[in-house]
Amino acid sequence: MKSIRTIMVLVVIAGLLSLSGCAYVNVKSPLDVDLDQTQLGEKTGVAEARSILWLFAWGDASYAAAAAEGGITTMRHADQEVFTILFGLYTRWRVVVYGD
Amino acid sequence: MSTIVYHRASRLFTGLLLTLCLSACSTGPLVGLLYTDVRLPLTTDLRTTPAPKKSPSSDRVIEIKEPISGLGLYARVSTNAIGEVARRNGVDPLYFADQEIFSILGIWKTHRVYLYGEPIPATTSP
Repeated sequence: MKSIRTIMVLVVIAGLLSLSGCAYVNVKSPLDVDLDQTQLGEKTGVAEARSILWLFAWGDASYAAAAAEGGITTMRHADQEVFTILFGLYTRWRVVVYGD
Repeated sequence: MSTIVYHRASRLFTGLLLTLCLSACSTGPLVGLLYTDVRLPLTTDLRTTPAPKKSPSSDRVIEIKEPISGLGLYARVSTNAIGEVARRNGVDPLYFADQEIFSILGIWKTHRVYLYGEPIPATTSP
C-alpha cells in the first residue's frame, strides 16, 4: 500500500514539475527562426487550428492559409500563439504571418 | 479483500489516465486522440518568401501513409526527402512547406507535406 502511495505521489510531482503552466497558457513565441535584417512588412495574416478534450483536433493553421487570410503575397516572418486551458482540454494554436 | 484491490486498481487507473491527459500539454499544441485533421507549418525559415495563390498540385505533395499504425512503419520527413521529391517533380526553387496530419483513432493516419515553389522551366534545345 505504501509503495503504491509513493508511486502515485512521485507521478503527481513529476507531472506538476514537467507540466507547470498547463492549467492556463496564453503565450506568443517566434515560429520563424532566421531573423536577419527581417522586415515584417505591412500586412498580417492569421490562421488557427483547435483541439478539444484531447479527442478532436481540426483546422488549417498553415502558412498558406495565414497568407491568404492576410492577403499576403510575400511572407517575411511568422510567430505562433498558443492558448490552452485546463491542461489541454481546449487548445487553440495560431500562426501569425507578417509580410506584404 | 476484493474491494481493496478494486479501489487500488481504480486509483492507479485514475492516476494513469490523469497523467495521460496531462501529457497532452507537453507533447504538442494539438492533440486529437479520436480525430485529427490539421494543417500546420513545417518549415521555419520565412524570408521574403512568396505566398501561393492556390494549393499546390498533387505532384508537389509528399504523402506518407500509415494505414495500419503500430507496425513501426513510419517515415519521418527530412529535408533531403523534400529536396528529392521536389527535384523529381520539377519544383525548384522551393519556397516553404506545410504539413497536413489526418488521423482517426490513431489507427488510420496520413501525413502529407505540401511543397510550395516554382516549376523548373522546361529547357529548350538550341
